[in-house]
Amino acid sequence: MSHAAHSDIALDLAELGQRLRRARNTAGLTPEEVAQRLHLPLATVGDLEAGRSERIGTPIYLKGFLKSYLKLLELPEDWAEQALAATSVVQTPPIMPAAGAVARRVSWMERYKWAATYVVGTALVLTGVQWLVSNTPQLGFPESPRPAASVAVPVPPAAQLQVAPLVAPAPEAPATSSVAVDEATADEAPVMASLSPFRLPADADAEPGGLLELEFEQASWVEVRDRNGERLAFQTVPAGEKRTFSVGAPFSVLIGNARGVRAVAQGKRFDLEPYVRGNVARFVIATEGQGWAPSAVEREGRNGG
Amino acid sequence: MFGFKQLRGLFSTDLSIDLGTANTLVYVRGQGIVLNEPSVVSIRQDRGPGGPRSVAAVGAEAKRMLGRTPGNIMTVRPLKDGVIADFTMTEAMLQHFIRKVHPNRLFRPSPRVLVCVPCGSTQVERRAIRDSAEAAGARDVFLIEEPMAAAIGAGIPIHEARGAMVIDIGGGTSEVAVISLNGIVYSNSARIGGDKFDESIINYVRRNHGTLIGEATAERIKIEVGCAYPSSEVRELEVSGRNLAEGVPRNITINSNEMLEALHEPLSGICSAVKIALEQTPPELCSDVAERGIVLTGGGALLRDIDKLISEVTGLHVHIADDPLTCVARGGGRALELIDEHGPDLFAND
Repeated sequence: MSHAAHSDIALDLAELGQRLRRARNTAGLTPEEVAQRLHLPLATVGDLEAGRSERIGTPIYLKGFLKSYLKLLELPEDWAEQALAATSVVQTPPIMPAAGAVARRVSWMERYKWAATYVVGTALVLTGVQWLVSNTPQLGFPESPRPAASVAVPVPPAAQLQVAPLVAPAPEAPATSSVAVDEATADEAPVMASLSPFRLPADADAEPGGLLELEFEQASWVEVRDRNGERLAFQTVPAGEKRTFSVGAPFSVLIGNARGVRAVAQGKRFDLEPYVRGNVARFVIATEGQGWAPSAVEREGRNGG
Repeated sequence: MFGFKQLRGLFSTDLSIDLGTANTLVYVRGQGIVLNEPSVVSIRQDRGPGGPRSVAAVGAEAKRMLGRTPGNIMTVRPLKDGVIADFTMTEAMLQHFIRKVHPNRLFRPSPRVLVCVPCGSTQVERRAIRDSAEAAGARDVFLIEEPMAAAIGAGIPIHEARGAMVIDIGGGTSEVAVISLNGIVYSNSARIGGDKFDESIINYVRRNHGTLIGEATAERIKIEVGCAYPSSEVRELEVSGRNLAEGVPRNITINSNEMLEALHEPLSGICSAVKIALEQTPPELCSDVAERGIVLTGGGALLRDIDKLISEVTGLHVHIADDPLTCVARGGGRALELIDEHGPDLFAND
């Protein structure tokens, strides 16, 4: 074999194929015999001799075939590697994606998509709830007892006190429509809140009977709650002052240092003594006929503890 | 979402481990194969039986001790037939190897690890490998079947809709698989490998030469003069062993024709596994295999003329992959690089 004669020509697949063909002819072999000895399809032997790599494709197979062929013809096996190095037709195959199939990309985002959706969704819901709570004053108590009470109090139209704007529209509101009552009472709410200093409403002038006056001979504190338990006043009053409250009965009054306070309800003075326990007077003023009737508060409910 | 594990992961590189019966190879992502050591562990037992045990040596150092240790040191091969035989030793060995390839001492390494498993391994065996890797400090453990990793490492285009047959002859097992479209269509695992070859050589030498040789000597004979197919060239090797009749060391000469006879039984086991695989392969894929041939990987592919033997038995062309010993580890490494981009398509289930 005259291997040295070939060494000056650049070795690529085509050149190697020609050398293989020449060597095979020299050895007196037919392509069929080569195919049989190498356990190869005849077409592959033809491809190798023609220097075609498209059908075989991958380097590992191409190199294997070439090496076997070179070995059979007793030619140097490293020619195969030289030829492959000179020919950049074949490259290392990619592993993925599968031919014709959709590659599965499991990126970071996809992997944690559900977790991210859950977290973002929860955050949104919580933000919404927070906003609602901070912007709706009484979200937690949609069924306020106020309308029920204002409807339930059996006040005949004749017995209207007409003193507190709070109760004035209540009987007029249809008992069945709690929405209307709600609206009515809600409209009145600011009036109830502005108690100190008290400004007499225009219609209250005519009938001062709806007023509770407290004269403080000594410094004391006072708490007035309306029928719904809402606090109308809660303050400390210095000695010598006077406070007037315009409320709709029934309402509850709590006076600390009761012995230094004189109370006038609907223009009539009444004694606090029966309601004093310790130094604190607790009493409830309810309507009775056309007037007010103070009564001791049962020690239960709010103060009962 | 970005937890402590991920944080620790920033300080560890991903590993692909070919946990073989004979050798363990570690491929580090971006660095290539950084460790190739025998799967051998030496354990020192101080203060008699029941005393504290400590690892004396791992890998090549431990292999040098194999069969030459005093009473308080025990040298074991924790893997048998491609699967874990001694869980604790495997864990110690993996821990040692992971530490060795991670010189970062500040943080305990916690890499993502891909381990190659034989396709014939049972669920229990796979779980043992997974647990062992986790106990050795792995953050995540992925399993890949050996033939799949071998095919990727050999450079077979496994993504094509064409069948490719790969035979991986390892230390403990031989795996035959037909792969197409990123998946294993058929696989067959025979518990025959390099160890069985050594064992056959030991038995042959004892029977025919009346001499007892050790595993290391048998392996040397296999590498130097072992062959699988008759050839005109006869090689010879002189080895020494203990003569069974006289009880004293004697030198004997082994030639390659004797090896042909000695290795006949394990080799025929591999050949029949290949033939069964070809019988079971769907005809379309079978024709692809016939067209392109079979690819041989693993340490067993280095046995002289084994490609010729398989080629004669099957009538197909047989290629030996480049650097067949590291094919599985390299393939595992390439699969590891694709974990982030692609799904777990390539990986084996528990």
